[in-house]
Amino acid sequence: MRARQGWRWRTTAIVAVLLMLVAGCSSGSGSTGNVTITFWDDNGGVRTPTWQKIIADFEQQNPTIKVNYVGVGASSIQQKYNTAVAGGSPPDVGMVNSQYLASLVAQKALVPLDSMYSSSPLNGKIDQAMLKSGRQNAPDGKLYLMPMTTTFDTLYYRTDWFKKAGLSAPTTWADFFTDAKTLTNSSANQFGFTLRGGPGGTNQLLGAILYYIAPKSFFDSQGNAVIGSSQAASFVQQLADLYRNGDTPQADINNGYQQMVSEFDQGEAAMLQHNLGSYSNHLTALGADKFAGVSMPIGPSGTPVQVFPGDNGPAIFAKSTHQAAAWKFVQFADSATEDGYWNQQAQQVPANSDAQNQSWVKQNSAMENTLQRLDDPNTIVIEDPHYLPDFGTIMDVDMAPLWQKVLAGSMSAQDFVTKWAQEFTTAEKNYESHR
Amino acid sequence: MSTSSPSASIERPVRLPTGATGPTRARRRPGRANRAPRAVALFGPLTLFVLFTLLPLYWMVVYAVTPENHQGFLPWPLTFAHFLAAWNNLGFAFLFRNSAIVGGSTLVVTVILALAAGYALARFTFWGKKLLILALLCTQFVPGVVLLIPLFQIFKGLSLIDNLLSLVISDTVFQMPLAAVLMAGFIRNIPVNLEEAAMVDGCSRFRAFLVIMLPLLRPAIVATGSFAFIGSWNNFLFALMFMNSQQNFTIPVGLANLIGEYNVDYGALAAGGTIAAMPLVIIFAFVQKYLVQGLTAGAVKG
Repeated sequence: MRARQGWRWRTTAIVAVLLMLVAGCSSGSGSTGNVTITFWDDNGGVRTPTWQKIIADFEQQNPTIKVNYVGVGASSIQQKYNTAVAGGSPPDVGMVNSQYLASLVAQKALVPLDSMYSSSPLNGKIDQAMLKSGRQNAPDGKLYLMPMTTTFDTLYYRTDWFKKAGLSAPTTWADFFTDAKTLTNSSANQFGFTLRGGPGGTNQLLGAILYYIAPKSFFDSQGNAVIGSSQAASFVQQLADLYRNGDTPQADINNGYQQMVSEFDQGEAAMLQHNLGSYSNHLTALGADKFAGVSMPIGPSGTPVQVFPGDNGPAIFAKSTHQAAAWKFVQFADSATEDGYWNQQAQQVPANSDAQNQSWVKQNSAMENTLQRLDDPNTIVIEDPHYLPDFGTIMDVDMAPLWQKVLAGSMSAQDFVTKWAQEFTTAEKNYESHR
Repeated sequence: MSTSSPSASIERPVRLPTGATGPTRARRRPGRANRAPRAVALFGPLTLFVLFTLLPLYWMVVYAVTPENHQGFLPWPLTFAHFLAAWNNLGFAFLFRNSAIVGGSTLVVTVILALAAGYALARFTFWGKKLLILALLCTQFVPGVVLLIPLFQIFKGLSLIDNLLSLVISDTVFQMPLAAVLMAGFIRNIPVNLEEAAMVDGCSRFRAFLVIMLPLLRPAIVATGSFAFIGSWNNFLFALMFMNSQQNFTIPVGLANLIGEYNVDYGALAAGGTIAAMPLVIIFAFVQKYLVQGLTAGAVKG
């Protein structure tokens, strides 16, 4: 009898502990303002302190709105958005990238911002090219993403190595290939260039092809992708030859951006093609006196090109029940002060034209060069077709392994670019027929 | 149950003539010439295996305790700046707390359910038992990502999104089937006579299970509990998808946030990885004996 009572007590205690555990697991709501909006950052961790400062400023100016910040890693954000949208629980506001904007718009997950923008004090202050890109990447041509930043391809080079070899920064692709060969000293583990053969390599290669062939648009008047030309093939072959002749590190065939950037930062490569986003890494690793960034080289036609990589900025989700508060936050983040602060921390190009004139922009040689090229009336501004639903599949699934085949010498550059062009042409025609 | 049959042959020790060197003798005292190849054959693969396993961990620790841009194999000069950065900037304290709550709760719930289910599978005969075991095993072939949206919608309906309880439930759902099948194997190895004897002495089945079986199942509980804890501690996908606030993220999500779009804080990432691995290493150091017993107990049918 006594033993049974003991077991009852024990059972009651176990149940009580389990209930306490359940209660302990529950998350509190804890809203101090009248409205709480949830904001998802698409590059959480790295950008968290920057956003925390912007949110603190916003909450100080708008005491009735509290912003619940959620930082999500860059590599996971798209999957998290898709799951949340499919599950019916997206945030109020989230940082969205052009590369998956079309997919979110297709799911009717976002609110068009055109009318809000036209009556906002921001109207006229946002870079026109970025607005155009934002609209172009949405299937219905509306503005869903309020551009806040972008980043352009840059050719980083080791100023000390170039000076020692009596070379100046390459302005043409012909100079680039010559310099890469000249600066290679493989016995000293020094290479003229580091390329990206692994994850993301095709994105970088596509940009490089466009800088070389300088087309007026990505598709010709018949809707055929222009990257299948013999000129494009010749360029791809020259790049592959750099790798195969040992003018780039042998590991480059598997390089993602981290490996590629660290090869440059650790003093193994004389040149690197990457965007403005890695500027601060090079600054930390090499110091301002050992490297600089210039616009991407010009191809045989002599026409300067600037490939527009798309925008990144806040978007409001259709499920949000606090869209007015969310729009207030979007406008605040896009104001000259906050947009300038954000981009200064990230060393990227601000969308707010007033922020583009801030003094820190002039101090970044790579950004200054890129903005100068954009201001050049002869420059062709062209954008990858991010709006194609198959864009990611073509780049990462279909073509990435083939790019490695070209580097390894088991596929011809002409076959490679022909297939690439065919895939884009088919995707474009499908897209147009369903539009 | 016969223990031997007349036809069964039993090896008897063979008495060797004095001075003769049989294989047994040779094994006991290997000649000097035989020692070197034997050592190479034994320690060569073991050394390679240990190096293969521990080198990445060593590399992680070196990254964690040396300054940025450090090059070389030795962890010198030492710095704890990365640990401080991971702990303070990343909010490792709450990441750690959340992982401990989820891992600990998953362990407890999985073990309780596995004990109950394993006992039923081992001790009772019922219709569809084999099919049930097969179904439990088949759940292991379903990747978590396939169930992501259905689970998300279920938890949303239960208002459990952004609640650690959703992680405990989903982790338990994935850990429990294998744990139940393993537990059934362990329970089968314990003679049913022990329970029957206790029941003859007046114990209920439940009390006989608690008093007689549970102490004998300690290695099995440690083995299944360890698997459940590790699975839950390392689960990234569910923690990322079901949690929507910084203060509810777990360690794997926090570590993933150190990998930025254009840069990676390798030092803090390595320091975070080292901190995350500590509890597992400490737990394994304590339960190693039981774990080995538990893993081998169900391996051979008695």
